[in-house]
Amino acid sequence: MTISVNGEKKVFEKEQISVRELLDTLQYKEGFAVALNTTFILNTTYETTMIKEGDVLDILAPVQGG
Amino acid sequence: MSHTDMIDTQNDKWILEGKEFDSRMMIGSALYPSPKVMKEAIEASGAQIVTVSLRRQSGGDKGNPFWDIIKSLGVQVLPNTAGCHTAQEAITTAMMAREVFGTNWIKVEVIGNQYNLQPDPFELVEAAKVLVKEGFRVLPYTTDDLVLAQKLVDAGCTTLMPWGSPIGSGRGLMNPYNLKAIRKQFPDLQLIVDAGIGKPSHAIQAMELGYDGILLNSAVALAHDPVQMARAFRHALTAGRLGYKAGAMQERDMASPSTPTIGTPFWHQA
Repeated sequence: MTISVNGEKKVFEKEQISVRELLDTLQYKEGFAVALNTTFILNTTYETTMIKEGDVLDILAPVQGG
Repeated sequence: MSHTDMIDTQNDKWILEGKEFDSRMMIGSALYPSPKVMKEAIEASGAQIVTVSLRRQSGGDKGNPFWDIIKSLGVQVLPNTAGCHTAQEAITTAMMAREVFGTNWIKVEVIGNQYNLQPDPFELVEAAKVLVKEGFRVLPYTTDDLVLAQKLVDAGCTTLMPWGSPIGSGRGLMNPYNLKAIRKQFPDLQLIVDAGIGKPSHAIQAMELGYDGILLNSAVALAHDPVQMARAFRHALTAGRLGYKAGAMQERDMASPSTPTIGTPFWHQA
């Protein structure tokens, strides 16, 4: 499947993977939050939330702000 | 904070969204020449509330030095929804911020115009309604529109942050009349001038209008000496607040001598 992560295309052999699997694969450790198709995903649901073909993920972390 | 400043503020704690603060300044964490200067400027400002944001980040165990510095300051963080153009974007960003930053405070910013970064009033109210119901402490960045202020209060906001002038413009208070009207109409709200402050005198003016606090960033970060400017703003807020509490004299159209006229010597008797 092909998905978008932070605006970049990512290709996976599997038909679907959990958010947790994706985060582990991309080596996200801590200090971030996830939105799937512009909807916030609670960190307690990473294992049960599945990512499918065409999904769009945004993974955000703290930055400077005014 | 010096001993003198403590005397000035000890009986004037700022209760904002259920928390107590000595300083009435909120300061941004962006645009500083370096992380070191940012840290020193925030400390020099005396601010106990610091705005932060969220942006995309790639994977890998790189850590987050910026966030480590902010955490080390022991301040209340105020995440913003900068860059959002719809209520839904702001709601999603707020929820992500609550998880990352561990606070239910959110500066809701929904931009409606790219030229002056003016808030979109309709999307802002919609976002505020949803986020208040979701348990957030919503601090909306708004225009100085009186009707919009009422709509935000109706949505459940107890703090409003009207602009002084467009973000980053440094133009000060463009419309003191509107800011005054909001203050007069909502005496019990916490009111903060957010955006457009360029100089310490602008902050004094806002505080003299009876505003409860100031949110600024560019004015300090883009100063030639950000740390010195942060210190200047700290004093400006104290001066403006004390001036407001002291009650300014009435303006008069005509001059009125301050030196006694009784006993004026010979030079007017010819």
